[in-house]
Amino acid sequence: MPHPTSVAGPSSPSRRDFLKICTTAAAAVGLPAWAGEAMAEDIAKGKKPSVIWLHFQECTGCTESLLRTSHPDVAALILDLISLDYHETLLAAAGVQAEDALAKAMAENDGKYVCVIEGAIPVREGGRYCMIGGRTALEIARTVAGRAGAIVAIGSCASWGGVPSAAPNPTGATGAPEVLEGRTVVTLPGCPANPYNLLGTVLQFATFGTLPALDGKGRPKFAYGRVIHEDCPRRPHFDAGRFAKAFGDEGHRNGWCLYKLGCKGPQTHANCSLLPFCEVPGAWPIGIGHPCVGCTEQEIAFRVPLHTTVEVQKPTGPMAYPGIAPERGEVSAVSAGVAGLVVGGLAAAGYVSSRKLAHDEPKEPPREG
Amino acid sequence: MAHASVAPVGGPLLTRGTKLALFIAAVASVLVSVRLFTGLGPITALNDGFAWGIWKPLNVVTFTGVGAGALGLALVAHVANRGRHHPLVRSAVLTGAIAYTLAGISVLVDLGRWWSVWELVVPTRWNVRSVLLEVALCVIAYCAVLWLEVLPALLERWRDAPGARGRLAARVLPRMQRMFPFLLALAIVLPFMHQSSLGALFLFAPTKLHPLWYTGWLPALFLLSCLSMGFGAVIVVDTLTHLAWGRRRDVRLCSSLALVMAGLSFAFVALRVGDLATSGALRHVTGWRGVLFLVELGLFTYPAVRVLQRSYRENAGLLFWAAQLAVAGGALYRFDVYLGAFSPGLGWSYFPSLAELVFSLGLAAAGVALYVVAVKRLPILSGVAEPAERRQEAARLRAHA
Repeated sequence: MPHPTSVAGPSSPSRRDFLKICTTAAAAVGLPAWAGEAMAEDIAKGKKPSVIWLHFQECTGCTESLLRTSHPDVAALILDLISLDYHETLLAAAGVQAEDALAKAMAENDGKYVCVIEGAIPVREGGRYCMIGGRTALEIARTVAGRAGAIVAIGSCASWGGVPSAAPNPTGATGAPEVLEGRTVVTLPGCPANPYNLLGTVLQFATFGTLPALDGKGRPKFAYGRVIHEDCPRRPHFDAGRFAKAFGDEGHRNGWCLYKLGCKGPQTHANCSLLPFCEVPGAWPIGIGHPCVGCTEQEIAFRVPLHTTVEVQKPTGPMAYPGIAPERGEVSAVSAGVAGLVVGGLAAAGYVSSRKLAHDEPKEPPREG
Repeated sequence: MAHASVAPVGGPLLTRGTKLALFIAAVASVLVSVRLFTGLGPITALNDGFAWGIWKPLNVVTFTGVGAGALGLALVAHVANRGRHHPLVRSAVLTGAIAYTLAGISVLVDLGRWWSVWELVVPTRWNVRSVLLEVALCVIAYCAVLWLEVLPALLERWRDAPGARGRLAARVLPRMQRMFPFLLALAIVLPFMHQSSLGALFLFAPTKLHPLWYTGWLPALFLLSCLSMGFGAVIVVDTLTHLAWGRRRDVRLCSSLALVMAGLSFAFVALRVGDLATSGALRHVTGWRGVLFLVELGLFTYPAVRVLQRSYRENAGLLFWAAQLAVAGGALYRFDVYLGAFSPGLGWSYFPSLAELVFSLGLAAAGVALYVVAVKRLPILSGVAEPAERRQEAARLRAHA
């Protein structure tokens, strides 16, 4: 698959182009520019991270959105930046060949590859509701993830069950973190997940060997640290009390806040408002005039009706306002100790000397003035 | 102004104790020069919420409280004309002069724009609505008055010297004696003004000062507490000089002062508790600030009650302890108003940095060294024994120890 910017290596005349891809990728996911150079150096030495991508109970929406990234585009991504060794949607091989590719990739990069899981894993009745090559999803996930260097669950299905886990959940669809208990699973919930959050995580792991800082649910803080409401482009309308009350009304046509139409932004942790999907500004629910459905949140998505309003959990003031009570002033342990010693020493000296004086008193001869 | 019995203590100036004090003071002065050139930020923990830190509550308000013994003795010895207390006056005035000088130095170092301090003495640049200006001018004036009161001690020493110094002393001393009533009047009016102003400063902060401390009576409470701790300090200093140099003294002088101290403490407690009871603020005696309040009251009440007993106050050691507690009580009250009960707003916190503590220690050490040098060379203390006798006394005290 020839690609104008995909040629890398010592013989390549377009090293400049290649550096550009790496720097673009680094910039797109919030890594510093020099990380792009480091990445390019590593890749030139043949150290592209091996990625094994597993599909279970899902719609392939996450893969589809990944395929639509353009900085870098998917060809540059899977051919230059990473070594995508197994991915059922993109694999040319089928059947036994495909299974062999999986075994080979696992053997060659044992303990070092990145295992990306897309889709929920059914656990009811031994996991028989999803089987590939005669093995259950449960077994595949445990085997492949068990030997991976890093595990990423992409999308809400892999993160916590997603659509397949919606009530009554006949297959027992479960998220990867629950199935792979004891392992660190980076979860990137979203329906679909923003592909750049995946790129950021994978490229950081590939370049530095580390994972981003995660919150209690395994979500990278760089992407899921704040709720939509905090950075929403329509937030000024919320603060000013301008709400769309019905689809197509004046407020809706003017792009006012969608909270009263059931927007879940106040409780949904994601960076949709900050990092557009596939470089198309406005290509997300609130951007096109639909309330946020809370697709990243297990407690909201597919549980709370679409147009039910939620409580505003972080009623933060606009960011231009100063904090209400920031911590100011430091207490040093050393000075506290010194102050304690001085005061204690004075009190002790005073007490001891007055006791001694009081004790000596009767023995002293009477004094004259 | 009869001080017939006073004499220099004599002896070497550079003892181990004064060397240590001077060393601490030297370290502190290095910190001062750092602060003057780099600003307050690098070496202090001061912040916009606690802009005064320990600089005011300790270096100014507590030190001048200790120095208020000069005011107390002026009232007792001159206004009430209890002439037999004269032997204590010079030491108290010297203590006051040193304490007020140290407070002034501390304020100068603590001033954000210390290079503008000269404007304090230029009336056209005054903000006449400022309580702080009143405090500053009053403290400067009182400091000068106190040193003028110490001056006769120096002149008396010079009087016997041959040459120009002797002639100068002979000429100036009689004039100073004629001037004395006016000096004395100033020495009473000025501290009444600024000691009450130190409390009045906090009348501006009704929302920041805890209700157990905020009251319209703050000026009166500061005046009463400065006097009670001032008398305590006179007793403490008198006992310490007795311990240090084995000078003869009459404990009954101190014990009668202790009664005055007790009366002032009772007045303080009565005013404080009565005011809080009538305003209904006593229900705020909760939490750690409630504990502070109770400790404070205890430090005022306990020594006052104990010294009412004759055998207690005439025992030099017990009296010493009571006086120390009274000083601690006054100091705690001052610390509470300026720091402990003061909350500039949510989020602010303060504890002095090591450098600030060393500076305060150095200030106190410099004061002690100055006092020691002065009493060794000038006629300040009464009951100073002849050298041989003093050696015996010191040996006897050591044997007891």
